[in-house]
Amino acid sequence: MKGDHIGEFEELVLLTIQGLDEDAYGVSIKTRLDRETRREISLGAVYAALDRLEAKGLVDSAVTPGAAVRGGRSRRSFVVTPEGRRTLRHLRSLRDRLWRAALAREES
Amino acid sequence: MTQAPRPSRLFTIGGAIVALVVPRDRREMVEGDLIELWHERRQIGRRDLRRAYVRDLAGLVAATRRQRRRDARSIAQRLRGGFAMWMDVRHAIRVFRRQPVFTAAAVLTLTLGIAASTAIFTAVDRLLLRPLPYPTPEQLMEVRKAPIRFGPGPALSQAFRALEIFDGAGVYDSGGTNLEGRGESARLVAAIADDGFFEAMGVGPLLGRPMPSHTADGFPHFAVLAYDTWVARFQGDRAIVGTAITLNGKSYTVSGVMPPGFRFPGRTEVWLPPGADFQVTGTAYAPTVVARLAAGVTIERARAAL
Repeated sequence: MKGDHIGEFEELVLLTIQGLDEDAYGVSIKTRLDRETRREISLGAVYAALDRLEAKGLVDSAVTPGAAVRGGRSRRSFVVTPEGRRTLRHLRSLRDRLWRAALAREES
Repeated sequence: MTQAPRPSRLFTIGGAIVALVVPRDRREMVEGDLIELWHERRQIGRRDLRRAYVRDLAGLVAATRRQRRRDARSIAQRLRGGFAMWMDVRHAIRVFRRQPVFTAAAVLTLTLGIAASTAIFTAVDRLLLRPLPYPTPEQLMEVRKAPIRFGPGPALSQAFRALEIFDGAGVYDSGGTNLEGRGESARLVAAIADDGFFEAMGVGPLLGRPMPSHTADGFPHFAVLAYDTWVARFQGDRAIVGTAITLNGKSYTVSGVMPPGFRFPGRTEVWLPPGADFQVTGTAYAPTVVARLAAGVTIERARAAL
């Protein structure tokens, strides 16, 4: 199935877009990721991941008008597609299963 | 010591770098993101604004280079694939040259295999898949040896039609004729057929009417054209019905045009009445009778009745 295999960083970007209350675009995604990972993520890496996710049909983008703080320059806003949400749920259930197994072994 | 550039100058330099590495339709958005990040960092009191801006630019350049390398690898892989196939073809040609007997056997086997498959498919298509171009063909019966010898008059068909076991009966025979008077002469596949033939086959003309095969005066000179003949020789002219054409030097009035697909017997291009021209089939008159069984009559009962 298209978009089944995504890297860890792509997964983080996808999850960030899904979790953002505000409009998801380059700056808002990078700022959230910087804060959560406590390291400075390269803007170029975010763009590259967004391009790959869009090519896999997991996100959709649209050009939206820019605010004054950007000098009026437009933004490229992203939303997660239904396929992207399915992929996120699949990855979460996979991790949950693996975690359960790992924890059960730790406790025994 | 040189002074660090002011943000506006830095943004100009940054814009130039963005123009170099980012596609035109994305530039405005990327520049906007870079400016917005600058202001966001300034708001939270960061002091390394210029360094962070340069790092953002460097990240952009690095990501673009990585993407270009990835694209180049993909193109190279495709080219390698094409080259490998070409090498395989050349290798195959060399092997064929070294072993001509094996190559000839392989080509012959392939030729026979393809020919056999084509022949089988053609037969299955004609016999099983494609319907015959006339209704209820299972009710049609061919009488090859007419019990009594008849002339080309209506008596033979009438004799069969008089039997209750048949709903219709007619005669036909195959031959050829020369179409003249329309540019170059052309040889046409012709059949003689009487009016009972078209009735028994259950197919009426697309244009015009079936030809009357016998009149009180003898054998009228009417002709019925196949659809393909009408299109190819007469350009599908609807006014052809009622006009005269010359066949074997004799003038015939076109009575009708049959629907597409109907070419029986064989690949007939024109049907003429029996007796109109003995050159069409030769001098001996020995037509085949085609008859349509009446409803509920079996072949066995028809055989017994004949």
